[in-house]
Amino acid sequence: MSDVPMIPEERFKAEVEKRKAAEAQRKTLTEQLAELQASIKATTKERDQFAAQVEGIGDLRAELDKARTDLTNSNSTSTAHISMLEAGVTKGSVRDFALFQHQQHVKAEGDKAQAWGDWWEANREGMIADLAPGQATAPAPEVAAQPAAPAQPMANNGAQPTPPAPQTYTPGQYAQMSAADWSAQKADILASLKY
Amino acid sequence: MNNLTDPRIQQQRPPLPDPGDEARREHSRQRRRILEGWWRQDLDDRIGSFFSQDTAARLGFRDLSRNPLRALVDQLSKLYAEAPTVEHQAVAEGGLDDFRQQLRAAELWSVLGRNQRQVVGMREGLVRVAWTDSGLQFRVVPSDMVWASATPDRPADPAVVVEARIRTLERNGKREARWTWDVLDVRDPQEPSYKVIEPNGPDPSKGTDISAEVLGGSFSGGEYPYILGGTDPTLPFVLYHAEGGGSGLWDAFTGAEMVDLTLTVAALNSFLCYAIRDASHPIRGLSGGSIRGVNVKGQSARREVPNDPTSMLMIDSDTGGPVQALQWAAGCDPERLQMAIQSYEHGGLIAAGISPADLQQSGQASGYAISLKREFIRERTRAMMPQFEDGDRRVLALAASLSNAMAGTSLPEDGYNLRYSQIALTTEERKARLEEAQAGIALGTRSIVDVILAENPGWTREEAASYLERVRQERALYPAAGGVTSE
Repeated sequence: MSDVPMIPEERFKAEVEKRKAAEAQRKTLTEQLAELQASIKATTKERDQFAAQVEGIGDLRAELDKARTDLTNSNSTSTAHISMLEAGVTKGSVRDFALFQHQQHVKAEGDKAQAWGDWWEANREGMIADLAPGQATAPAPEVAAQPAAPAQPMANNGAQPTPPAPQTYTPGQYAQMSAADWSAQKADILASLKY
Repeated sequence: MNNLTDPRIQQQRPPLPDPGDEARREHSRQRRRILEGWWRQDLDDRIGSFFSQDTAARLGFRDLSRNPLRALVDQLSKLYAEAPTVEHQAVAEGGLDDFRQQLRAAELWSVLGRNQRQVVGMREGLVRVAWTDSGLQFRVVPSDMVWASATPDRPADPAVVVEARIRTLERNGKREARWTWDVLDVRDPQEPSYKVIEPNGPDPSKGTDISAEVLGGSFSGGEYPYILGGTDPTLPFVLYHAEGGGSGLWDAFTGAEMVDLTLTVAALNSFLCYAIRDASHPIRGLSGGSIRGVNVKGQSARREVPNDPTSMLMIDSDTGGPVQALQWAAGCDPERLQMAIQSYEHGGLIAAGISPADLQQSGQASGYAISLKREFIRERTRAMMPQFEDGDRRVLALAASLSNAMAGTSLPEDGYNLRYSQIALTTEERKARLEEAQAGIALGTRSIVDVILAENPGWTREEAASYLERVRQERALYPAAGGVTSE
């Protein structure tokens, strides 16, 4: 009797059929997966395009909001300028200053800040009085030009310290004396030798 | 002596105009050598003339430790030991603080202290005022480095000054030390001049004008930089005299006796050292014998024998006869010689106007050291003060003028007052003064204001009265303990 195990034929055939069916199913599933991936890719692309469009719309909306705010500000600034022109403030720089003052007021007071119209009404008289040109101020006296310091000589240029008082005789004094010096000073030298 | 070719320019006699003035300059140079410690050759000359040539050669050592001239000059030059107070009537208290600070920064009081030593020792001295990059500068100029000339109207004030200075100049591409002259002349107020000349002989007109090279431009005529009060050209030198009232610029030879005394005393002290070394011990000898074991040593073949308290000298007769030991007394008595020299020195001091009563007497040492009494120093200082005050005022005026021109200050350019510190009184002097003051007040010949003025010689009567008023008020405010009242 052989030691090799034996499988019954019916059982073997049944197993082969099962394997074949599984292979066919795997193939079908793989094809479906590929289709699905292609579909996802296309969908992602569409999503990105859509997101970009949405972003563009957001920017446009922000621009629109900004434009609206600017328009509102511009309208209120124009209104403020008109009200100040009506009050006789003709100088643009003065009107800008008044607006700046109001902005400072808004910053300081927050929610309790007055609107421009109320603030202007409350402060108009005082501001106009303050900003009215006063009496012409005396021109600053001209600073007398400081006279330029006179040039000073370079009194010590190259100068050496005062040497000690030399002796009556210094070594080499007579030996190296020129003939002209000797002639000029002969009498003095001889006189100095008579002690 | 001019145009010497000795390369050691520092040792040369400075060339200056007017050979006729050389005797004055030479004497001042000698005084400066003694004051500054460069007088060894002067002492050699004195020893050479005082002793015979052989004796002078044998002396060897020269004693320069005694210098009466220097000792007196140092003791009499205390005017600037403490910085004087500078004041001006037209300037409120505190208004001169910056100026005082400038003066301190320029070390004015040290410079004036050094100048006083030269004035006392050499009879004259100059202070040069200048403006440098760092501000005011004050410099002592010894009188032997200067030739000057005055106008007949002001014979004691120089109108022309020539100062010899060694400068490093570039010549043929090399930097060389050369004698130059700073020549300043204000004899003509319309044409004052300031030049630097490289001299060629005693005649300034033969020298080469190197003003542009040294000073950096022309500073004569309208460009003259030292204008006092905006209108008055002045020399930037102030000449100080040891004595006022002179009718000339120089008084260099007055008191030459002290120079002479210093040299002779040093010569005698050199001889004293020689005597102590070679003649202050007895001379011994043997006649007709010789000592055993005598060694001959050294080049001088000196003969000596080892000896100590336990040894005995063994003497052999050279002739078989008796041997005679001889001893001669010392060649001189150093103590007596020293006394004689001191006596000579004191005699010299008396001749120079310093009496024995003016010298401090304090035991043995007083015989040797010259120490003047404070009272004498005070008296001499008081006599010198007007001259120094006058010079100091001029220095301050010059300094203020330069500061106004260069630093834009608005200081007064004249009228400064100086208050010098007084030499403190000894206990005896204070006691004597107090007794004198009390006696004066008791007799009714003195007021308390007089007493204050005597204590503070620079004060005015108003200042003394103001001081007394302050004392009265403070005593009323703070009565002292022990029953002292403000009355």
